[in-house]
Amino acid sequence: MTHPPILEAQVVIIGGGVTGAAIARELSRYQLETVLVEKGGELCAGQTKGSLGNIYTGLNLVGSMILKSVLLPPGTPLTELYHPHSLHTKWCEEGFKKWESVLNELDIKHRYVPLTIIAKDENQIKNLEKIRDLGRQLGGTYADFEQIGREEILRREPNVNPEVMTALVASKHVIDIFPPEVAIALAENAMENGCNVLLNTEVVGISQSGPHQIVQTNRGSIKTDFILNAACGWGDQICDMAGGGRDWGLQYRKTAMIILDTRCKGLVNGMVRWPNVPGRLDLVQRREENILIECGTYDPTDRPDDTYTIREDVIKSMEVAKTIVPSISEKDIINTFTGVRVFNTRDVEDHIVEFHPSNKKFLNVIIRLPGIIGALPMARHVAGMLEEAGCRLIKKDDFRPFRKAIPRFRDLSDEMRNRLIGGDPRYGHLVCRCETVTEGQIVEAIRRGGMTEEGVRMRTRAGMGRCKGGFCGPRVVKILARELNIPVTEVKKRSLDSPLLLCRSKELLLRDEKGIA
Amino acid sequence: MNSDPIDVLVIGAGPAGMAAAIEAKTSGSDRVLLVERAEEVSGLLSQCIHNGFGLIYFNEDMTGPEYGQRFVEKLMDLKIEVLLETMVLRLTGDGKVTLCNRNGIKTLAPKSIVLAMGCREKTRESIVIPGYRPAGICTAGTAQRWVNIEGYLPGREIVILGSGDVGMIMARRLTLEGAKVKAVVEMLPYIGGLIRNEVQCLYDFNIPVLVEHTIVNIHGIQRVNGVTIARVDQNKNPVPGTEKFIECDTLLLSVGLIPENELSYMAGVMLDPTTGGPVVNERMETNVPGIFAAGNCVHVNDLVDYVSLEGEKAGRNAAEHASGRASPKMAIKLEAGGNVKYVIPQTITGEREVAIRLRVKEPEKDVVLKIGENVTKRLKVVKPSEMVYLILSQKQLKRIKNGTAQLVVSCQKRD
Repeated sequence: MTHPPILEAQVVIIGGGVTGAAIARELSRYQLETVLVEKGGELCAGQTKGSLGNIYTGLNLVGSMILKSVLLPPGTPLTELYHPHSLHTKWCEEGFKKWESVLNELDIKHRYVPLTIIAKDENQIKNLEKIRDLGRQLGGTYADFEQIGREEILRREPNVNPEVMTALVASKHVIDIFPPEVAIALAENAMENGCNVLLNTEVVGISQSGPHQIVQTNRGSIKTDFILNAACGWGDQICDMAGGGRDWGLQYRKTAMIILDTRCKGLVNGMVRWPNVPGRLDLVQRREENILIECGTYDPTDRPDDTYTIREDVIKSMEVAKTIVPSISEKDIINTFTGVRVFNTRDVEDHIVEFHPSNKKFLNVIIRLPGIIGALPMARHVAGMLEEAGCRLIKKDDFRPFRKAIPRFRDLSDEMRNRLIGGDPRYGHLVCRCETVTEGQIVEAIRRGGMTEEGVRMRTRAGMGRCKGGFCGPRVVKILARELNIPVTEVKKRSLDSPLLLCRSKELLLRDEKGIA
Repeated sequence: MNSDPIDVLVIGAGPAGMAAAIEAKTSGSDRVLLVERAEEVSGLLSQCIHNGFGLIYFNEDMTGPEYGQRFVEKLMDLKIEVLLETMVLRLTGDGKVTLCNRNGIKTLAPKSIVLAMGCREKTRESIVIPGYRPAGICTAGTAQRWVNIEGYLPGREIVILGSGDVGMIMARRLTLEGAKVKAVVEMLPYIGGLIRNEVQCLYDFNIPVLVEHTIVNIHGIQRVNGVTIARVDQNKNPVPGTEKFIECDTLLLSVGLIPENELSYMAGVMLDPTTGGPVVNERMETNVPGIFAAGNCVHVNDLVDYVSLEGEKAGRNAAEHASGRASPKMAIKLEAGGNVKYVIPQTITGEREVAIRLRVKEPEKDVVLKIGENVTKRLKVVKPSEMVYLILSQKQLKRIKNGTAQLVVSCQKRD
């Protein structure tokens, strides 16, 4: 690679998921040249997008420990699931408290929802008791729940299986968010404060050049002092580019998720789940205005991008979901997708946040799930490590912590909507009827860097509803082409190799005539 | 917009809505307002540039745009108010309609409302086709819009899943555009759409048809690069070992249509779980007084001509309701019986001539259509893809006993 440097920076962050975005925002508080590179055509193209993505603590974290204990040696006692000093535990506990103010600063839509762990048969009650006992033993937030009986469960969650016997309820410890919105909001704010974000930029090599490092990408090179590896599922490959000596690997687990029509949103008020058992999770939850179902096992896979959805998984998942909420129906499925979770092989219970064994200016930030909850303290910690390694952190006087969300037309009162339309009539033009998204929002999303169909979708929800863009799809693509001043055939779904339309009408016929074919 | 009270407000300016608005106006309503979310009226007719429209309604063979234009001209002649690029945000059970367009948001209280929102296509997600989520998967109707209105091709090498009418029409259309349609794959043992489309769109163009097959895998992470098909057994489950890979860059879906009824649902209109549309009486009135419905939002019709006829009926009765005439009592329920999937309308008075529309469950030859015990009609052949349309005359209605609460409609093989 002999590309001349296209950019010079002090820090290059590799990976535009929630980890990279949180670090980018944290570093944008300082007088630093920071560049974030993302190989996908859109931010959060990897693990963040397929995340169940709640911000939680307390009892749900206890359940999560049990669920993920499938990765530990068989027979690991429950008491060993809690590691108070691990980065993972520390950041989860601290992170939950930190989010409230940042969610407000960044105008991220969020809602506290109750967690209800229900049980109906003997076996489930036994598993529920394990969670209960572990929670009580850990104390504090973990013990902040109540146990309720059948009648009370059905009063609070009237649509759950009427055969339930008992439930644990924690009402203040789960925040419902939309993961891509979190990553995008963090990145937008970082950009507002001077961070440079490069999409479709894949790192292909790392080399040394005097006191500097060169990050080689498919689009040219970046000269930098420090490199942060936040590439999650691809973190091992990136790490190796900086030199050998890695003593950890990555392993991947996948589960299918299902989204139900907004019509069903009233089925549950919060998150309702059967008690977690190692390697298995069964939950139905309200995700914004939809219902999200994840009922399945943590199936091993050998690739971080194995988001292949298996039909049988969806069918089985629906069967289990119906045992939680019997009125759930296949007819209401509007989307299915698969999330891949990444764990390191050295210590499956913790993150890897350390400098490369042979490169002291290359910091691996390999975060296992839950990545969103601990992202804020993680970013702070990473900034601290950089400083210790000689990176000068001087606070900016003009750091702007606030970001305004794109107006959420659907959620506004008619009065607010009229005010918006009065200022810009494009907010009166509904483009996506399923999610009530206006042209004004789409144009704003493009202005903020959503330059693909998926970029617009994740920022506005256009095309995310029941018709999956059947009506708005062509309209969104045309708005993208108009605003970006590119031909319609250049509009991508997400990455550069995902064109939506292959050619103009008659083009194939004309080619045949010319004998080019 | 003037501030006179609105007699009839029609939601959706496709064939049903245009016919309803025209008929409401000619039936004497002073103010009729037609609301359309798209950039122009006519609905999907504008993108249906093939022929086969109007054979029943106009006794002519027309293209979609030609058929639509007849109604557009009438709308103009009658000076019917049309609001384009206007979305109905809310419809409430008390008949209040909230509109949104570039001028702002406005809530109206028309005397009658006609629901004519049409239908939408089932998606890849709703039928849970496994695989990645690459670009290059598109419903047939959206592809039709791309090719015929916008002037772009979704792909060069195409596989179509499902043999609905739009799918077959797009198979021909894309072939004429120089694309290669490699297969039409249908899960059922027979073609899902009209016979004329099967012949004129598939056989005439030598497009391979694979019935009793489905897609078990979509290949490609960023853009489709192929699909795997497999034969299905009687329970529609793929038979292991019959998988076959077909290289393609695009997958079109023509796997069914769903009546669009989010507004109906919002207003508390009772929906029929079989049709997915409102339960209507012979006046096309729903359970909510003053709210009428017509066309594909009630049930998916096979021919646009019937949609127009339904629209007219809804428009006429909506105008009548707006002028203050009371609704008649609907006494007799039409119940789907042997080999009948559904019957429209769901209730009749038994007092006046009425058009009955129904769909059968299974194809059958030499059948007897029975409405109750005393009304029968022989039919040579029935197919799920083709609606059965029958006028129940006054004379036939007289044969129904007084006090009958329910008539079972069946369509079974003659004994």
